[in-house]
Amino acid sequence: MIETALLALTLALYWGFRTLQAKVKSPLLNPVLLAIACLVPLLIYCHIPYERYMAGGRFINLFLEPAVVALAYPLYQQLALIRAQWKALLVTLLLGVLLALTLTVLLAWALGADKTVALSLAPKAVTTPIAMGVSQKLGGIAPLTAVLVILAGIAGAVLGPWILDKAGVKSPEARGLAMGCAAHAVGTARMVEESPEAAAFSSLALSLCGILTALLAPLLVPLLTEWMT
Amino acid sequence: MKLLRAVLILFSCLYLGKGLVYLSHLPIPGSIIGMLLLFLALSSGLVKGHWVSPFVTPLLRHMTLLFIPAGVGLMNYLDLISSHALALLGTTLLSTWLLILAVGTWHQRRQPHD
Repeated sequence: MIETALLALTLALYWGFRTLQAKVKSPLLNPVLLAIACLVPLLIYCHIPYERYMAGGRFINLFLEPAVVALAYPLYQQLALIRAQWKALLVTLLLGVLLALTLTVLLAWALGADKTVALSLAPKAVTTPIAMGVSQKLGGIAPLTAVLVILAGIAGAVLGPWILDKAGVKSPEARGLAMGCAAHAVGTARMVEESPEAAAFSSLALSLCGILTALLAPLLVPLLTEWMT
Repeated sequence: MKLLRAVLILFSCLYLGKGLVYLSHLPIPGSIIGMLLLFLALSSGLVKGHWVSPFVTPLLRHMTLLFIPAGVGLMNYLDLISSHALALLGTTLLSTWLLILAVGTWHQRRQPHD
């Protein structure tokens, strides 16, 4: 009974905050962040363990993996765009993914994280279903990664366009790639407001960086964290 | 019926991907292999775009909903999060902003001026 009620509440919170965001158009009003911020204190206050919540929540989780497969579709729609400049795109995104993994692990180490935390942080630039899969493979804590991914997305959507303005990055291709590479779906949603071209390149970066991270992280990250405790 | 066909194609790709990962022991999530399989099927014309779009379009539109139950899982790690708050927040924010700056600047510089 309570499991079904919590599932319904999750859907209601998502729908409510999504409607609110569509009206207010502020990246800070992220529906995922707000729904989590409502659910976690509620569950703790009512002494409901996460496992009990997931008895209903797993019906939503069922769609996580199919959602990754579904990302093939936007990628396919941009096939012509990719074919026309695939070399430059691949170089940029490959360097982006290598930089993302290295930078994240080194910053985590510099700020005093232990190995498990660093492994959970490593894939945080890519979309949640991929990041959680990679985190699990690496030996990180997948739910922690999920939260960090959302945080990275919001951070990118809020300050990213301003950073690009200050750096004089005007090309919509470059702006889209940067946002999709570092802030995945949340950053892409922000680029949709900017221009269709930036949005297309952002969703391209979101899919390709996801694939590249899934392929490269299991090879690179253990080397970077080998000497960490 | 059209939705059923789309769901079947997507899940076939997913479970083929999982099967391949299981057999090959590749350190890659099965869903990624599934994505590559669907991409190949679409670009080779084996699968038509409108066969999968009835499921893919709503799934991608509401993809963020799927992150909520996973994110609520953080309630089991509140101690870890509060004891590593600086590392977690600092790393996530700084690396995201630096990455946007680096990728944007790099790609604009490499692009042919038009």
